Order: sequence, then C-alpha cells, then structure tokens
Amino acid sequence: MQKKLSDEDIQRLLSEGDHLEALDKAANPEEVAAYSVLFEVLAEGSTSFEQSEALEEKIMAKISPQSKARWWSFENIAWVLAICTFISITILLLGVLPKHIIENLIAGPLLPLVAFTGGTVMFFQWWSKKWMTKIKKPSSD
Amino acid sequence: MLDERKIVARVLQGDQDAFRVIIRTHQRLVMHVLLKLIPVAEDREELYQDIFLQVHQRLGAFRFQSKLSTWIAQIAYNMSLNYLRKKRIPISWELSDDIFSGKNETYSRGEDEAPDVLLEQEELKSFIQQNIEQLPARYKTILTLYHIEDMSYKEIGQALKMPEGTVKNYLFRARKLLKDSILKAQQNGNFLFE
Repeated sequence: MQKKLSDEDIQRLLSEGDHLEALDKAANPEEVAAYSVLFEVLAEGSTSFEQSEALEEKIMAKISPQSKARWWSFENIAWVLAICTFISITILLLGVLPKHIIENLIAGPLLPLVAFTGGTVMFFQWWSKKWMTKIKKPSSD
Repeated sequence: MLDERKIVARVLQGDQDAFRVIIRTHQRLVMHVLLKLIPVAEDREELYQDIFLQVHQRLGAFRFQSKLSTWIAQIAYNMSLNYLRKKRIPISWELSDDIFSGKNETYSRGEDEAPDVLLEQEELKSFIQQNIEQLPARYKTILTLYHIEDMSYKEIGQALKMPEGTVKNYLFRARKLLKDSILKAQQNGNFLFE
C-alpha cells in the first residue's frame, strides 16, 4: 500500500540511506525525487582546490622558525642611525648656538623642552613602527 | 586513521611535517566553509592561510574536548564571520519562507518558449547550488558540514556553538525550503525529474 511520506520521513530515510524501498513506494514521488536531487547536490561539494598546494607552502613558510635575531638587522640599523643623528644634531647645536641661549634654555623652559623631546621621540617610534609594518607586508607573502 | 594526540604533540614539538599532515587532512573542510561564506576568491585564499596560521598558533590550547576537525571548523567559521564583519559584507541570519522567490521567477519559462525546453540535469544542479548560496551563513555552513564533511549534529553544534536541536532544526528547514523551491520550479515547467 502506498503511503505519503512526510518531509521528516524523507529527510531521515535519505540521510540514513536506509529503507530506500519505502521511498520508492511513497505516494508522493515528486517530493521524494526533489529531495533525492537535493541530497545528491548537497553531497557533491566543490572541487576547486587547485591552489591548495601553493597555499600550503605559503603557510609553511610563515610558520617556519624565524632566523636568529641579528644586531645588524635593518630595523636595528635604522634605530642606531636615528639615535646617532639625534646626538650629532644636539652636539652641533650646542657648538653653534651662543652660550647665553643654551644657558637660558636650560634655566628657563627645561621642562617643556624635555616634554617636547619625549613627545617627538614617541611620535617617531609610533611612526617607525607603522612604516616598518608597511614595508614588511609584501615580503611576508 | 589520524592519531590526533600524536600529531598535535609532534606539531607542538616543532615538527613541521606533522603540521603539513593537519593542513592536508583539514584543507577540504576549511575550503568548504570558506566557499560557502566568503564570496571573493582572493579573500578566501588569504583567509585560508590565516585560519591555518591561527590553528598553528593556538594548537597548544587545544584540549581534545572535541575532534580536531570540529575545533578547526569552529576557527574557520568564526574567522570567516569576523572577516565578513570587518569588510562590512552583510551577513544574513534568518531564513524566510520566500528566500528563493526572486530566483524562481528568474527560472520561470517564458510564454513564447517551446514547452519542451527543459533544464538539463546539470542546470537543475546549478539551480539548486544557486539557491544554497542564497541561504543565510549558518544554514549554508550546517548543510556543508553535515552533507560534505559528514559531521554529526553534536560536532556541528560544537563548531558553531549552538545546541544539537537547533542544528537539526536548521538543517530540516533549509532542506525543506530547498525542496519546495525545486518543486516550485518543476510546477513552473522548468524541468522534469528523471
């Protein structure tokens, strides 16, 4: 005897892949056929993984142990140069500026000067980090 | 079969070949999640790498409370959603009964077309695939994890952080709506079943 199967029944039978004769005998073959096609499509998935090997190599390159930190790395050299430049400019200014200006500077606005210098250093530190991230990004791929 | 504990221990000891095994075992799973959620191919590739890097980074925190594949699927799903939010790509969550109405109209046969012009089997599959793509993110992910990756309701629930009952309900509703869309297209005379 033909029996109309509910959505739950059809889905369960197709999921379990069992009692398929019950599906054949169903009084609502259109619904069974629609579900059968749907389950077929759902199980197919996609095969577009052509790039997976290349992607795997990129991942492995990124997780490979980083080379030992070297004191002469680009980042460290940039910092050494920046500090040397700062010291040189300070020495130059101390040599060039008249003595009374330097004395006035030390005696007067020393605190604002320290604050200004500190602020400038912090700004350059922030900016250099941002810059380093920018120039490092393409090489990481 | 992959001994997850051994392979994870080897990765944590710095064995890179062991991590290759993890990538190869789970690449299909990750790519299927990405294919369902991320529309742009370049973004998918970028995210694919980021997901495995995240897996490598967080592997030490994996406590084997679920299968490794479930844990990786969870990372892939969460990172995909974060990516969509970051890129301001709208994510639909709710499944409405008329979700495919526009699509079915596109497939309706015109008045002047010959009545024997029917969609071939491949076109029918393509029609279903397009309807699947229209489903909200978590419905698509659940369908993929269940039908393609053969994950259980419990595993999907763990990966997507939702109760098993909700997973079953979502799966049932999505399949029923897709079946209804197929029947509707059939009634419109677009194709016949074999």
